[in-house]
Amino acid sequence: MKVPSYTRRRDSREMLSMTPMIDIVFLLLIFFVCASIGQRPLFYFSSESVAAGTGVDVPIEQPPPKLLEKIDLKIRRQGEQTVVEMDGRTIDSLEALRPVLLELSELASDVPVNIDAADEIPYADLIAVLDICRETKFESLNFVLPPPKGRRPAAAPPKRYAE
Amino acid sequence: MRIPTRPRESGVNVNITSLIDVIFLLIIFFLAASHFGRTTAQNLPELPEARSGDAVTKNPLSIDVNIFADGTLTLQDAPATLAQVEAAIHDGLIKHGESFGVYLNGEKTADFSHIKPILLAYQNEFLTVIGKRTITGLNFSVLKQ
Repeated sequence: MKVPSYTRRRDSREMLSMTPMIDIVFLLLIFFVCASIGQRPLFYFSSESVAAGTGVDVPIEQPPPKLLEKIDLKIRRQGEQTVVEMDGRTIDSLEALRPVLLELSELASDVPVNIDAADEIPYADLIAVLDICRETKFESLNFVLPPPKGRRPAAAPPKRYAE
Repeated sequence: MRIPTRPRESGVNVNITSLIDVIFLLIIFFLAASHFGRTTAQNLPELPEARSGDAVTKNPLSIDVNIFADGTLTLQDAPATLAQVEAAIHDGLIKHGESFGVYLNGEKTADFSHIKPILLAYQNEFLTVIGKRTITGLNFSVLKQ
């Protein structure tokens, strides 16, 4: 019998190379994992639209008499629930606040909304109230904070900052 | 003359497909690693969610104050006291005036009692340095719902 003088090579058409396919599968896998994990972008409530004046002594000019001068929202905690007091009326949930504010904003969205939050209110609930106010198109939202205490003596501000 | 029955093998066969694949893998790996590195470095608290919110470009003349549920504060990702935050706000307002800003990253479960001192500090410093009653430059960070 004749012994072949070379090792027989398999025809390239018969050879299925798995390496590129695995590489591409890994690439796609990593791409989709990264795309799905992607960091959630941050959004902001800026004070120009939200907390213009933190409610200390924001001057409220006296325009012609209006039906509604201002809206005072007192956010309080009752047990495990956050409630909102408005004009002596208690709104049991934040969801119930939305239609009330929506109705008021249709009357006058330019009135200031003063938000007085109790210390024990979770920050998320405060943001939820701000969110509702913004969604209902109120233009001026203020925090009611205690008046500044122990302010350092007001050094004369540089001229360029003076009003 | 004898006709060859099998094709002649070429000398060197360089397959660059695998090389390109590996290079792409490395690029993606480093991109992802740097992305996660930055995310971890920020060490943001779990922010509250909101439906509204502005996707504004962040003011470069600003500081980030993180407020965690236990009341601890970080200023530019470094642990800080309230006095340090006040001083940073004061310095920023002196240096940049009304262009200065503070980004408040409050943890959603934090009590308002932990947030309030920062609001008061900003209010005090703003009134002291700028002298205007309408406060600008305060931003509350939220996640889009």
